[in-house]
Amino acid sequence: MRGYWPNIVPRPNNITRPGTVSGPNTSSRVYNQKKKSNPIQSKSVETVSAGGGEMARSLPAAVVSLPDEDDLLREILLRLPPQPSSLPRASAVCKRWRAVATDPKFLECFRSRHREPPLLGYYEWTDEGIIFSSVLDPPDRIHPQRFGLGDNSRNGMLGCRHGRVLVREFPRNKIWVLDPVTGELCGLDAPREFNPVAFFVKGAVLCAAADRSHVHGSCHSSPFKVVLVCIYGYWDPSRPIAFVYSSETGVWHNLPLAKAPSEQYHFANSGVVVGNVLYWSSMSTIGHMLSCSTPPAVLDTALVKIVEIDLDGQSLAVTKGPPSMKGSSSHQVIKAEDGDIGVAMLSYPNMEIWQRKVNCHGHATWLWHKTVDMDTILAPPPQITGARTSKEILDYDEDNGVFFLCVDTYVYMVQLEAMQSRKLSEKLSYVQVFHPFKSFYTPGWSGRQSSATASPKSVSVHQDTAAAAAPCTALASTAAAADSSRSSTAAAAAASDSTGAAESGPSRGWWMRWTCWWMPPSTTSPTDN
Amino acid sequence: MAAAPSGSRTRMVTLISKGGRNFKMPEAVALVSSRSCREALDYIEYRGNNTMMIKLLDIDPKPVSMLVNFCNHMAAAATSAASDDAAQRMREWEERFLGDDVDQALLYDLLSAAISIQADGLIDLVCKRVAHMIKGKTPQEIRTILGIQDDLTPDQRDEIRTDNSWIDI
Repeated sequence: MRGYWPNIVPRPNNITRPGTVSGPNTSSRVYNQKKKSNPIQSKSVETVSAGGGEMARSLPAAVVSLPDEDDLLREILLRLPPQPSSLPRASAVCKRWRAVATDPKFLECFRSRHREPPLLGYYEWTDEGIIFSSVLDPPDRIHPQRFGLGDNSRNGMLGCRHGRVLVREFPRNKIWVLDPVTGELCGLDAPREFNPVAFFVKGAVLCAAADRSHVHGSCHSSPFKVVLVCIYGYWDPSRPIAFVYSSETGVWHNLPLAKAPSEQYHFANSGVVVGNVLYWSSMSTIGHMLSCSTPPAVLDTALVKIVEIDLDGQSLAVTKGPPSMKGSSSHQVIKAEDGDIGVAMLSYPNMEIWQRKVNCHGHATWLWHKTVDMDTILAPPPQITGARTSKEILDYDEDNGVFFLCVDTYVYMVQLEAMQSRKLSEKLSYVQVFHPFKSFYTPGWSGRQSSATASPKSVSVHQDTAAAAAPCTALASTAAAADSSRSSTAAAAAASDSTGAAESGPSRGWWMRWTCWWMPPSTTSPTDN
Repeated sequence: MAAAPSGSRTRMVTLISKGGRNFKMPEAVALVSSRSCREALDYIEYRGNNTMMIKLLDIDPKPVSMLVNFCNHMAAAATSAASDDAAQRMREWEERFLGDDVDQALLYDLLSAAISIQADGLIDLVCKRVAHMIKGKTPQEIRTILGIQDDLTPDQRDEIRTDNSWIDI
């Protein structure tokens, strides 16, 4: 995207009317100089193979250098890959590069150009609670401690999306929304309907930025919504309930149920957002028990249902899904090619894909799309050790159509359309908590700690009433500091307020990193100190 | 693309490099790649010979000739149907275009020439090439490749290290 800066300006007055010819000029640069030994060139510099061809090794410094225009430098840096190390390394080259690479407006253009934040890693349940693991190799590998959840690592993780993590603190019926990049934390009292007796609670957090040009992946200051659903409620087991919280209003809204299901259901896997509707696939309680039996019982009724939360229309519905797959208890709503939804069901080694078609009258039908033999995709192929070996869909990334499967304790990332897979790791626990985490990890989000550590505040919110409940204020003082630091005059103060070194060593205690919007010391004068 | 009026010669665009060497291409070809030419047509008048002259007097002949080569290729590609094969062929051509014989000096002069006539496609290609040269490289390696002097103060280096202490810079 070149929308932000003025177009690169050509030299003036170089287009002439017909007939004008300039005088001759005798000097001319000689190209293709023989490769010279460069005494300052590090041995670690490899010959760059650029798209198949090879560039000549660099000439000695000060003979040839990049044209000195910031616009040009921005165009080059925009084309760096969105990996975590790209811009930090560029910012460490020299002052001019630092000024460009850390300019918030450049970063906005960078995210807009790339659109899709990289997958940094995933959260999974281990013996030490929920921990983050990186899927990237060095230098892009982010240390697990950087994205640790602190005290919340022992709570129930409901999901993560748009760079935020949603956690449910079970006995106290509290919801925590964390931003691992900035360290921001927001505590909410969940509606009383989700009291500790209510099992089968699913939730989702999503960015609620209204700006159409907003690109997810750095939604740190954007408003968010939290959705909580319980399809097997304590108060009424046959009536699913759903609430949506908005950080802008600070209020939970109870979503009316359009049509109650006839059976009791429970969920599988993570919600998927398509359009502005959140979807979960669910299975009847009896059906789930039957399908988990060994050997799996034959199911001859349509047992998969779709739970839909319409965030625009503010409604909850449970609709019919495709026929369940024989022997399968692992299913996942997916985004279909035509923009509607589908359902993937896994009965290893086969995965069935069904797609929903809605006609002009709003009537939906489910059509079988394809069956894929996962043995032809998973590489290296898993060693199935028995019928009780874990084979399930852990999660699904609707933006990229990527599945995360667990087969025989190993986690695979699968791009079904491209028929490609990648083995990620060995899954350390049978507890089904696995949430991929994507984010643009752009320069400036530091590991600095504030000298003042406040305990996280939780906010009691009322439901549906004209509450005096304020928007999430768990980090009120940080928010105020963040606002003030957005002005460039406060930038120097913010930068100098840092207390230096990041934490060292593992920390199981609570941490909270104060964050201000990182502003470079100056973007107007690259040479200043 | 502007069609030549019936009965007149094809309009040409002439780029004049350092040394007074002329490189010509049909106006229709230039219009595909050069934003300057497209904008100039709004106000330029042709009298006598049907030629638009563009002076690039401080750019050597070789990069100007490559620029004309690029414009010719883009104009030809624009007339053919888009397909996966066509995209693959374009990528292969781009690799050959900026191949082994293009050193940094030539690359930057080519970039200057592209900027002069606002050939956005070539600017994009060269910027991609430079980005490819530096991606995955450490700051010192980038400085070496591009001939950049390290002028960061020790405080700034410390701040960068602190800001990015969680990944390996």
